[in-house]
Amino acid sequence: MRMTLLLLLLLGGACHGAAKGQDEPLLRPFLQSYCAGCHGTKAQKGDRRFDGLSDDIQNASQAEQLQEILDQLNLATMPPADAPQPSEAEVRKVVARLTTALAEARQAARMNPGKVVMRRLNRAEYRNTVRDLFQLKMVDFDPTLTFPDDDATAGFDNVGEGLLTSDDLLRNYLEAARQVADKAVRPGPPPTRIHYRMRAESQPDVAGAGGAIANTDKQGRREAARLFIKFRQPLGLQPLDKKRGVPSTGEYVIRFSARAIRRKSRYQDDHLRYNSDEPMRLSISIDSRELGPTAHRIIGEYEIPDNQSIEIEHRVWLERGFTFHLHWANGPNGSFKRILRKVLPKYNEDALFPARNPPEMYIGSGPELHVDSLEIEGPFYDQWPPSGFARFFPDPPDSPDTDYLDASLMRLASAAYRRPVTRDEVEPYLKLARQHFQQQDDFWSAAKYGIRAILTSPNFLYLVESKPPQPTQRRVTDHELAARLSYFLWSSMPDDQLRSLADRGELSDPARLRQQVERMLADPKSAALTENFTGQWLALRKLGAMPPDPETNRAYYADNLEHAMRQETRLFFAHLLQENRSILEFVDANYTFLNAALARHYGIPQVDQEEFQKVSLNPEHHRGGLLGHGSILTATSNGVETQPIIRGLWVLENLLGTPPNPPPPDVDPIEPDTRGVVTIRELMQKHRDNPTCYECHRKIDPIGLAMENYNQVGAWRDRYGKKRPIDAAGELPDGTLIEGPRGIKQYLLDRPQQFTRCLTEKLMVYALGRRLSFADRDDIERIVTQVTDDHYGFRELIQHIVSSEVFHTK
Amino acid sequence: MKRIIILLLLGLLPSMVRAEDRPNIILIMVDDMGRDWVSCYGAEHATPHIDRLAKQGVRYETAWCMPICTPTRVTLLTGQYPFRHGWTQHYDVPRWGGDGLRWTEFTTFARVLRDAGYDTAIGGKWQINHLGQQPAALRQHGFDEHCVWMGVEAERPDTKKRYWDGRIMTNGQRETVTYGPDTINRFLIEFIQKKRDRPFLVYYPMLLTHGPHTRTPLNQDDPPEGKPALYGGNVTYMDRLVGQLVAAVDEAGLKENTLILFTGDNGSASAGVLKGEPYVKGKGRLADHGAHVPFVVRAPFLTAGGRASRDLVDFTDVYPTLVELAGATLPEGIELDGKSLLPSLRGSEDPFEKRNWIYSQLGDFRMVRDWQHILDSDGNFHDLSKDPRQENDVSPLDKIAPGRRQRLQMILDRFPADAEAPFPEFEARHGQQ
Repeated sequence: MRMTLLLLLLLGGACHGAAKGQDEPLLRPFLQSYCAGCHGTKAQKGDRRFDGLSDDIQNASQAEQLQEILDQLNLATMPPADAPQPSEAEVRKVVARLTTALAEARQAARMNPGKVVMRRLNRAEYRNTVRDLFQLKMVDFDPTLTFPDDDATAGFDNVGEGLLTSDDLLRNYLEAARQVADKAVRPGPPPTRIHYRMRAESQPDVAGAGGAIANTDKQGRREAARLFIKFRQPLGLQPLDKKRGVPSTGEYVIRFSARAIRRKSRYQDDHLRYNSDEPMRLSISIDSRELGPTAHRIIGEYEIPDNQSIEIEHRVWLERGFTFHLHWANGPNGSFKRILRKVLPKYNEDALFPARNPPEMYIGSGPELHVDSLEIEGPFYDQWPPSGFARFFPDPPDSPDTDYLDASLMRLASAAYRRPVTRDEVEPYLKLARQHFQQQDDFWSAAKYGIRAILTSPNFLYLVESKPPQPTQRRVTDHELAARLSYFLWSSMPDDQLRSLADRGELSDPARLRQQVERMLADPKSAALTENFTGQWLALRKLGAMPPDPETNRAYYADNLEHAMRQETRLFFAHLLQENRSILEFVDANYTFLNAALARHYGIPQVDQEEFQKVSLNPEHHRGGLLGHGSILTATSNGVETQPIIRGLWVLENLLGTPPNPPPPDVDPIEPDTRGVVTIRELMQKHRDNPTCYECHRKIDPIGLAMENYNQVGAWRDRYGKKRPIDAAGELPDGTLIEGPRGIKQYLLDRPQQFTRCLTEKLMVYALGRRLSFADRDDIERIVTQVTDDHYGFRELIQHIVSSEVFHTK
Repeated sequence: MKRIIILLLLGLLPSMVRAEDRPNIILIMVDDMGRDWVSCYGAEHATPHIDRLAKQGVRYETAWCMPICTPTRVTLLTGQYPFRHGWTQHYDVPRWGGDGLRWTEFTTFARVLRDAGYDTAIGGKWQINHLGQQPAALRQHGFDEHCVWMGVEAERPDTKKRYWDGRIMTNGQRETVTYGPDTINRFLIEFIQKKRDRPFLVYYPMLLTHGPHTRTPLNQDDPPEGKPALYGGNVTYMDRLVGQLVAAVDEAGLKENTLILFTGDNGSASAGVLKGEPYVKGKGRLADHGAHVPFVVRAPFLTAGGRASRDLVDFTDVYPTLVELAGATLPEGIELDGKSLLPSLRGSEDPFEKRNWIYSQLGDFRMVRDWQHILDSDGNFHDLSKDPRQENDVSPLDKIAPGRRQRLQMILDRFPADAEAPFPEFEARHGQQ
């Protein structure tokens, strides 16, 4: 199966210079006088050279360059302040000319056919699509686990241009399709239900002969673990452990009753290595012998009351082969042996140091977590056969034939391709399955074979948009629109409702579309947008790549701050989206979302719950807006110290949308003369000494330094160490003076359109799955204007993007 | 005002614990029978009445007396180990003479309880004083009433008989009865009925199942043949007597407030079958078998029962248990070696309230054990969980054992040397060996 990788044909064909009609040559002399000094034959600063440009917009690359010049003129950043300046009239004329010329060029470019987007599902999209196609629980089932990472282009990993295919990936697709087919095809009656129970028998039966009384340490521990959890010995159900986990995938109920005994005992906490002030906590873990340590995880944790039995019921989806265990999450640390040998002799004169004293001398005197009963029951299913199976294989006959096979696979292909299919195009796959059926005489094996074939078809793996029949008909079909929409908001395939609207051709109706966007954003699946978009826009995925030093940042690990920080940003983003808040709250807001640990980290009092909650902020908290989020501040540091340059770049790129050019590739990073330098500010002053560096760093450094009040894990500081106060003041290239994060925020708030444009562009790239071209400029400007009129509502921004011309055309 | 009321109440408190509220105590000690004849311990032989008692009470898995009767009895009565009271060997005072147990020197639990207001009686055998020559001995030791076989008195051969045509002394009156054990049981039942409104103590060191092994009233018409079978018959009859006594307690309405302890004074005189395997004759053996006896406690006011306990218990623990139950005060200067069983009976889990080793002694042989291992003064060390007959050395690969051994050695090393023999005749008899 050789697949075409990417068919992104650049604006080909003749582009008849739309600006040719102009009588006087205006641009060339202008460029010659004001720009060519730095961007001409002698120098090509920022890798730009304009001496070859003419008023004729000959091709796409020239158009892009002219667009760039126009932007710089509009922002008044070029020519630089120390160079000769054009008069205001000159600028106005050139801007006007360029604006019209480019608009015409865009119009012309639009009319050019042949731009077919074909982008591959990335890993997350594949996973979600498979999940929704067969309505699978993806709790511990992830066929994409071994997929290679997807490369990001233009900042996002769903941009088709960067989504390459390799041999390795193809092999993975084959294997994933096999796994999915095995999982999805569930004919026959529901799996037998299991019910394992265990009750603690406090004493051996009096009538018995004494029976199994534990006599050794090991036996005692094992025996005791059946009754109560000592230390960190996990407690499980023997039949489950012996049978290698649950026999079939499904939802299981774990029930147990537990008591905390002698939380405070005669033993000192430091002897037991234990904290008796905390309530005892019991955690449930699941693991699979087959999948090994990666599958192990804690699925629930409960506080257990003192001397009082608590009944707990926990429902969990378990894949076949999984088993569960209970743990005393905050029990005494260290081995039981240590207690018998080293601790007990401190308390009991009959115990000998450091002999292995009998466990009976300790059991019953220290803190214990008793589990009085333990059971697991399941699997339970909402319905049987599972809906994800029945929708393609409804009411299977006792001996299904090839007709049923064909019909079922046709149904599947139509869903998997996200559009109606013709018998002809699916026939090769049907034929494969039929042959398999004839050879093996096993209907369900053949059905799986057919499913595997369809799941490895390019029509499934790629979001294919049909070639426009005529250059003028470039609108996407309703089915294509449904796919664009669902992969934008859900990172997954369209659901039944979207599909039936598309089938009826009603989705493109603006009112319907608007309604659908509202519905989709309200759906839990929209978490994919929060996760994938913030992960990449805000570079949250980088968080954890350079973790802070564990020695000096204990709380960061003890309180799992990394997770909490990420959660704060996600919740904040989701809140703005759900409540249609102003996107300017990304810049500054008087609230955020915190749990107790993160609030402690930020120095914000009176947040004492483990759960995240919305917290109002005062100015003295120094938070509010993305710039105060620990996630971003930590992700832009290297774990040991802050990196003002990275932070400055981050703001320029992700909030202002004006990323500076990367350093020229032929220039080695200069090792500056750092003698006598004390602070990072002084170090960065060295950029001034070199004009090549200073060109860009005058934009970057002031912003980065203004954020120096946040340390490398995002905590507020007024001084470096104990002495040197932090100077967070600076001057931006346009002369604006800023002081601290507040200054940056104010600078951004004074330019709301710039941030709006930046966010719109980022969302646009994500929504379209392609780089933006100069041809998209009008749409973006229109959206920015509309959103400004709509008081910057975030949801409105999404709506405008979805209803924009560019979202509907290919 | 309030304070006065509190003071008054405090003053009233001791008297509010009325004598009648204190529990009755019945100590039953079978003669020469270990666990290998009691079915609730896994023996083949059926003992339904003891089993029922166990079902209603707590059955101790691991209880130790001394390997032979005399040291066991003195230990039980005095709450001291043989090395402290000096009665380290078997000795029949009526037969071999001597002062016997001196009441000037030792305070039995019976005397403590009587002084605390209990009505007391003994039924069975004493043998540690010559009751013919010291008629006041039992009273001096704390028993208001008695019904006993006096033991074989050297100068009176007729005293030899205890079962059929048994020579029994009831409150000083000697008589010949049809079957001794019946007479004694009847006496005790009457005592219990008579004292139903009083707190009472019954000490019942039974005659059965000591030799000579004869017919019993149950099998006298068709006596089985051979010593083990006759012994088994004695066990069955002993069990029946226990049943009658317990029934009498229950019928008198005293079940709730009466502690009944059933135990033995040393291992079996005839080997039984335990847990499906032939056991070893335990009496006099210098091993776990010699001292490991049944120990069943029914005390509804302490525990709902129905459980077996792995808690360790030995015969020095009975004395402090009874003193605590009776709310009595100990006379000054008495040193006790045991620990009260009340926490264990109440089901306490705290090992600090319970024993973590038990001890037994015969002559200069001493042994100590925990839940698993046993160590004796001859240096024998065994893992009883794997090797209950003490036939094999502990594996050198066993990582736990050396530490356990060290600890048991530490306990053994803590004990003092044996006290002097109680009287010259005792020393003379055992000094020759």
